Amino acid sequence: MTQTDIEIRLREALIDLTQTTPLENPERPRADGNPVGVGRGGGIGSTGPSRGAGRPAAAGGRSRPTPMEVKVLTAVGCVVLLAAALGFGAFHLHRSPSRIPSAHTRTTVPTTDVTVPDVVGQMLPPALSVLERAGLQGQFLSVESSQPNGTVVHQTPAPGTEVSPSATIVLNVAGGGRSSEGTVTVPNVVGESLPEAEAAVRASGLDPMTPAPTGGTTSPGTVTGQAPGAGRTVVPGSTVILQATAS
Amino acid sequence: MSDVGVVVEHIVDRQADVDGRRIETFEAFYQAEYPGMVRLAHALIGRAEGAEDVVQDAFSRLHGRIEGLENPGGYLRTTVVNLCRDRQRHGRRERDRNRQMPDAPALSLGASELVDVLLSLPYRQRAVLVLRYWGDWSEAEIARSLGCRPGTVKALASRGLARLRKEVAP
Repeated sequence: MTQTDIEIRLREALIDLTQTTPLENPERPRADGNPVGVGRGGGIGSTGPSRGAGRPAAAGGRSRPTPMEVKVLTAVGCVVLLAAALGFGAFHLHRSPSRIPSAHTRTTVPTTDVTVPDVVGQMLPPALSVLERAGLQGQFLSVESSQPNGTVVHQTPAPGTEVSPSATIVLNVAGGGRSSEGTVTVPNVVGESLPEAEAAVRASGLDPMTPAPTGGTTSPGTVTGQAPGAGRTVVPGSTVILQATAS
Repeated sequence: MSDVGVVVEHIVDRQADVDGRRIETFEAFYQAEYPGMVRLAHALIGRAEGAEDVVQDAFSRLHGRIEGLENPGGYLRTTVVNLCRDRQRHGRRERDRNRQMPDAPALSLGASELVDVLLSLPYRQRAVLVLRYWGDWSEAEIARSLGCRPGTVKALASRGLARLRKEVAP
């Protein structure tokens, strides 16, 4: 399915627009005292040009948690899953619970264990949000499934498992059709030379598109802007628009 | 906005006294869906202001019924889409003000112009474009939310795109 220019531009414009969405109170403190959410002082109701200040980059370390926005290392996810699959094949008699190696956990001060929330059946973005709020990392891998695309069909470790804080939870996500390859994270290529940037974008399975530099010359320069921005998760094959200066 | 938030919180707290399990469900649902829904509302009404109100409103309508619903997510989205239609009439001025915000380093490529044209479209055309190109909703899902047939969704989309193509500088 090829997209027309206007469709691409529309998509990018809407992504840009919603990147500025101020989220004043997306997370309210919970009764169990989990350190979810961030204490916002005043400012409730100030939806003006305070973008960027809308949500302190505390907790998950992310300043702009778009539903689709999670740093995901698909490659690592694949490796982990592959390892788990191999392990399962070799030692299926043992039926040991497949824990995610702690090498993937962040080196924070260990506190009490976290109970893995159940996100099976949810769509990927909210599932990742749930994990993130529990202090856990989510990685995902698309699998064949009869369920609607983007639905989490399996998670490892299982719901209810006690894991160390900031452990990684691998989600198997229903794929097929347009998003059969899951999603990829848009690399940051701002500041790179255009050929480098294009190569990096292609290497991520994305399609770079470079409008003519505004200076009226076609010689490639340095990438000054990109859309979608770095760190966003998109469907493979998506177009990444690179704005480059004339060199 | 904060008023609505307080109301929702109040309802949730009362519910907690009755049934701790239920609050857990609603809470999780709220937590998971809130940011995405606010962005959706933002895209649909074209301005940040009011987006959270709409979403809070939608959640408060859903509260207490979530477990009786087969597809609470779908119901929520539909509610947001419909509430945004009611909202959009209010205050074009805020939108103009919002547009004066400096653009992020990420390029705009005439994005705001495109958004302006988008906002000038009739609500259903705009909603179809937003839901399809931003939300990646299926035609059937869009049709359900707008209360029309899938064929209508197609027609609305092509009309909206044609208008964008015509009015946005290439």
